[in-house]
Amino acid sequence: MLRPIELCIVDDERIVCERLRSVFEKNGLLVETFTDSQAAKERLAQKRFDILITDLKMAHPDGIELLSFVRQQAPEIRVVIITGYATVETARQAMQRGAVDFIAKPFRLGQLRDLVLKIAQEIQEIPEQSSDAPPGT
Amino acid sequence: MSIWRRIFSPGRAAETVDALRAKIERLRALLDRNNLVLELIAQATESLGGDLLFDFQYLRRFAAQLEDAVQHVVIDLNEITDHRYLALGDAFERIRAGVSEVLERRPSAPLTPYVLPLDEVDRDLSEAVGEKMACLGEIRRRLTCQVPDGFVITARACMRVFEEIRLNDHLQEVSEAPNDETPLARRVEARLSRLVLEGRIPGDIARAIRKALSQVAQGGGMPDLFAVRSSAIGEEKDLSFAGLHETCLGVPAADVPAAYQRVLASLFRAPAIVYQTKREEPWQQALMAVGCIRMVPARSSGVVYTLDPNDPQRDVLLVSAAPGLGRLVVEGGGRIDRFVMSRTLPYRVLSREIPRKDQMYRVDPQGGVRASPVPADRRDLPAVSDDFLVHLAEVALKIERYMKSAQDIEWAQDERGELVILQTRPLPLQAETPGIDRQAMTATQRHRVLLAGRGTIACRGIGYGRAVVVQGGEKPDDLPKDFVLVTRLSSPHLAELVPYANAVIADVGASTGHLATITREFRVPALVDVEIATRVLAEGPEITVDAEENVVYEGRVEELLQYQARRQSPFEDSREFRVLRRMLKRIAPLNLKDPQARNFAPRNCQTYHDVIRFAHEKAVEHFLEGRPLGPAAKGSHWAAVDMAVPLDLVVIDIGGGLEAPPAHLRCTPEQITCLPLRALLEGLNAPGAWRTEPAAMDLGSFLSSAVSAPPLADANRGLPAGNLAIASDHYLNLNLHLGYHFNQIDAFVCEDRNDNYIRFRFVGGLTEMARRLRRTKMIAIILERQDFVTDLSSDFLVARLKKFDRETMLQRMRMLGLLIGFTRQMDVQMRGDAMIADGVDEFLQAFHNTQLPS
Repeated sequence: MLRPIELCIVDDERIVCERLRSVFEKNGLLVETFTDSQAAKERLAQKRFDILITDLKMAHPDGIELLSFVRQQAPEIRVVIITGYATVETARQAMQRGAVDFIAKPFRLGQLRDLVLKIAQEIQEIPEQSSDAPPGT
Repeated sequence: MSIWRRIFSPGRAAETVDALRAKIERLRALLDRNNLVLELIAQATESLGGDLLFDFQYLRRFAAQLEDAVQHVVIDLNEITDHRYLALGDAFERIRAGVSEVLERRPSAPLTPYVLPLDEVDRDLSEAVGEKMACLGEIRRRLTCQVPDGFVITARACMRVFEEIRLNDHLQEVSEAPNDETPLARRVEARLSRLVLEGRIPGDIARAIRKALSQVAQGGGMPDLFAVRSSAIGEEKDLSFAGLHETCLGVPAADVPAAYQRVLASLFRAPAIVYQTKREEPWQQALMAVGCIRMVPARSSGVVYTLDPNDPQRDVLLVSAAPGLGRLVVEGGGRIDRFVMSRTLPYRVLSREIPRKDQMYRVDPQGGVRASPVPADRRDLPAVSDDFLVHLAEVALKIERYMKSAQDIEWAQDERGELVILQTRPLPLQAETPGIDRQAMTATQRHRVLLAGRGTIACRGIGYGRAVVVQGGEKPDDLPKDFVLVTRLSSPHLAELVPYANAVIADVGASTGHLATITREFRVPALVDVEIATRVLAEGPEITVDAEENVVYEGRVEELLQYQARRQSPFEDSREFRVLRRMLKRIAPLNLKDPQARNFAPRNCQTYHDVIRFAHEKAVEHFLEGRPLGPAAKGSHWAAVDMAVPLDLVVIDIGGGLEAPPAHLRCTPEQITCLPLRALLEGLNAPGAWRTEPAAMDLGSFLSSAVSAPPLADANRGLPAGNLAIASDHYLNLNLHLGYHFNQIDAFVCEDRNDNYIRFRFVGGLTEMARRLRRTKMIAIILERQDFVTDLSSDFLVARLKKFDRETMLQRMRMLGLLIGFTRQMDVQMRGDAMIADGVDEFLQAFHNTQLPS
């Protein structure tokens, strides 16, 4: 059986966390959500997630910092940025730093679901490399 | 004098053409912003369906964008009309302040009357009436559940009482007393509860309460007794304050004010303070609304949980019941009946405990409730019959479905045996077992998929029932108990059926359309624009609609339905959705419909929609009134159109709308390069569309009589009367006064289908209202058959079509041309309802037979 995909969601607005949690749990992912990006960063340091969905504009650390952090910590993690402040510049910056996609709010839940499920499928098709696991998992 | 005459006075030609261009630019900007506002409103309304993820930041941006656009519309109108409508600025400012008040959620209580009848209460008012009363009002209004009459004394009244007794001063003293050994909660209770109890209710509130009491008084010899219940104001729905506040039962009308004070005082009870302190809720700002509900002399009462809170996986309802009032059930003491029931039809009783019941509570006619012995012949019998239980289960599940989460419902059976709902609130469930969501999705694999990924989600949720393809004319009673409404069109009569449906699937329509709006209003899961649902579901199978994943399954997918009930927080109840709904009440409704009506004035604008409607109407009217086509306009960007049908149409070219320069300010239809206008005129000019009818069906002659009245300008000055089109290569804004009715078309047609739209408004007529209504309805049906989404209100029709390819859009423009001509005379003919269907057929037949260019 395929291993369940671990998803981390970070957004300082609770409604975003709650609604995305419900969408992805229904689709079989294991979900943790954070409205506090510092707490999210600490958790990301401890635990290996497969996918990170993060808002861009948050109090310290913001989405770009979080993105840079996980790229160092666990380069294999796939990062999707969601934000209400979609500018070409921020999108470019996020993609340059390794985000796989960028979605502007408001968006259709199905749009993000399809994107994340596609990434999840790709991850499941890669043979697992246990030596990559950081400590604590 | 109109701007046109001033502009084109002799000797000022060069200067005036520039001035005119500036005004046209303003008009164009006004029209653009008008459309932007309509788009923003449509998107926000659509967001209420739950399929668009938005956050508070979006609400702020939405408010800011609207504010900016509407403000500019007001400025543009005043620039065009030389500041004739400055009062519209005041209206704008008033509405802006209201929207911003909702958005900022100021800590004060909402500005409502001190007392609101239960009939006016719904969940959007929860900050004024508390969660408990808001839910009760909602199910009374929307679900037609039997709920006793009553009213709510609002948070605003509470605030006023607290001001009167100078609560704030005391609060400070209590909080700051440093050397006091007594715990804070006890100090608060000792001091503040007494303060409230001994204080005076301000005269205006007392009067409002007396008036409300007299309005719900029944008379007829029975003393009026009330239940006076707390309904605390808490933003979070899980903040249920269960049992922390006072409830007074059997209160005579004269004692209601005193009971009101007792309930208010219970806000400062020690356990309530401890509870809030633990949850980090600012108890100092707590407010309380209080419900006064007529007592039901109950034969029996009880509570139903729509799931077992300790084992939500079990597919059961739990019912407790006792003879008389529900006090024993609610307080948990004494012996009562317990039933476990199945959640699926036919709602069987799976197990029962019927102990001997010695004691019951009754309403004391003198006031209050008193314990009395249960009559000997009832002691060992169940408090309610199995038939009643089945009905109770059905209603409880209906409430659960509507609320989209498991419910804890207090009920009573009145002396006539009828079920009455006294209270409903979310049932806290034991923490969800991990994996429950996945089970739901795994279970779906066992079911055949009938439709997937088609169309758009208009309202998220899950619904089960027998698919019923409606034809028109059905009544709710004709349909099975659990049904999914399947329809080809979004026709107006569906509004009546939607509240009874467990889900809705439509072949056509948009998530911004009328049907979608109704499904959201009644929280019915809905898919629209599915295209083939009526075909696939024609046989009427049992189906489960997952309007979250956009899939329709054959059969009943139990796990999906349970998944919905077990979910703790339906999106509709989140803070963001409440705020958006309240904002939209001040933004979206259109109150100014008829430009001829006396109330069509800035002071009557209640929403942003009213403001832009008014501005649009007046800006266009201003151009129409004074359109001068004298020699001074030579070389300018406009021309009167020569055509067989004497439409008296003048085109103002704002960029690529006409082959330049038109000779002698006249042009032929062939010289029009505006795509949508050209297509429309092809329809209007089409020969022989109505040859099936005698005499009057000569299109040219009847249009000729149609457009000649009433004259819009002064004939003595040689200024031709007529109609105005503002046109560019792809854009058309057309205002057509034909006789006494008014057509307006705003359209954009290009190669990129995503940009394409047609907006058509139709209003007015010569004859009495019934005939006009028939004609408007006929037009609505025709347009729906042609894929338009329509919104019909009285004889004011708005129809929209979006995102079809260029050729389809142009074909629809030709159809509109035909329709405008065809319907000109129709209100005179529409003598009976049967004529509606005949008219639709006749037109569509004519349209089909007409040779139109393509």
